[in-house]
Amino acid sequence: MAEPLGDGLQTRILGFKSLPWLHGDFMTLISAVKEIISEMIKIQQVLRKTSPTHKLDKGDEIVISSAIATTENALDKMKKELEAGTVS
Amino acid sequence: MKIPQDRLNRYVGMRRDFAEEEYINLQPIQRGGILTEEARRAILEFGDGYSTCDWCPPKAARLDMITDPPIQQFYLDLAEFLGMDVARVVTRCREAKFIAFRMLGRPGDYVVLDSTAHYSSYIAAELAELRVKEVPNSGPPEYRVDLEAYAAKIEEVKKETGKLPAAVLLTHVDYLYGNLNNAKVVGKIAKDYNVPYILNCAYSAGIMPVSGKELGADVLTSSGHKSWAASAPTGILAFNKSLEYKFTARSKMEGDLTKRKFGAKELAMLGCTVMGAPLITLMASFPEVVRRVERWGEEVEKVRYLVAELERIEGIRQMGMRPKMHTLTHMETEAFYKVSETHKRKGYFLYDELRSRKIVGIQPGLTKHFKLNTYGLTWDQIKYVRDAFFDVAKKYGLKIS
Repeated sequence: MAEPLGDGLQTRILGFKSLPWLHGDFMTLISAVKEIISEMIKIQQVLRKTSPTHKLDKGDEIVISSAIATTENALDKMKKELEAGTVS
Repeated sequence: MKIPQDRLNRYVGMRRDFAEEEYINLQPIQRGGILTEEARRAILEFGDGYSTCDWCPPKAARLDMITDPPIQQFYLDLAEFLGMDVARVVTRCREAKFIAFRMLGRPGDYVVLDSTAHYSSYIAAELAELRVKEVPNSGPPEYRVDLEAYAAKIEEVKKETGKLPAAVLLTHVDYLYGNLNNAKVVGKIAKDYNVPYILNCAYSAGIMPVSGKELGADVLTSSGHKSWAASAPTGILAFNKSLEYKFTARSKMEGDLTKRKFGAKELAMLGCTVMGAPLITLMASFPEVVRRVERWGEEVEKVRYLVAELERIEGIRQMGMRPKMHTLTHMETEAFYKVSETHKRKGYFLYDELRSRKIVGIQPGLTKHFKLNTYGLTWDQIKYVRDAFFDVAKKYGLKIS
């Protein structure tokens, strides 16, 4: 099942939501990449806030652990998609 | 012309030496412009050229008419947040000042401004073909602007030219000493004389609470990359309803051959102003900016703490008005200067010492005096900075009380 399209220009003007060539299986890969970058920014913010010693408090550790877990999950999805050969 | 590949390679994989993840950056002009988490995401989403303009309405093709992303709403919220009626985002604070000067004055008119104003205030006036009349300050050590003297300077202009100045400008917080001026005083004088009052909030709005209405400003200018957690270049021009007809007047130009007209475009803005990454970071940081100005009291506490601690080192004192009311700070450091006279690295020793302790932003080569800004540092980082200065002082035999 393909991921739903975002609210991009062509989608909204042309209403092409049902056309497979506009929203193929690679949508999972696109959203996973964005998700991972977003999680990395969370970690980067912690590093910025705690520089240069990077002594992390409990809250910082939770943010980083959660970001890593979400990233691992997204990476798994990407791997599975690649293994299934849905991305050429 | 072809550029050799080895030269092109210089532009590949560019990295910043002083990443915020590794260093504490005390650079006085950089602290308020550090991006928020949301802005760092937004810049990736909207970094491409005209990406904010996907939904530019064809019948009213103008930046402030775009509703997705919500630029139109942002302009309204920005004005409300600043206690002004109308807001526009322009390229830099200096352009905001230039637009104000250009639309308020005629060549040869005067603008009365404080003698601690940034050079760009002077240049903006020059480009608008205005003359300046400076309001004096008290000189060292406070450099306090004589705000009441605005009235005398307005009178001086009146006597010299037979008419009032085109505008008065006050730098809310100056870039040299971080002095916070009581803007209400000038607001009252400007109102009494019925002269438009431009308040330059490059170092105040966006990091501390500022209400143009409360301060009596007719025009408020600010800098997104200095104080609003936005990428450069971003400036803010906000003004009151009474000036809207001047500042947002539409183009009347018509091509002599084609008869083309551009009546939707705002003349003073030269049509659309800032789009893409700078604007989107300003917008993405806005919710946090609205929240962070409420924490200004703690920011002042932190800088006062650091100043008091640094002044425990012999031969170090804070310049400018006391107690500190702003995080931009000017320190006179005679003791470090004496060390530099015999040090093999001369004036660069202090920079080297701090950099080796992962602190940057103090201008390389300066030891007699320097500026720093503590805005947004955590208490741990403030104490780390103090300890680093103490460490350097001890290393060179300076006394700490």
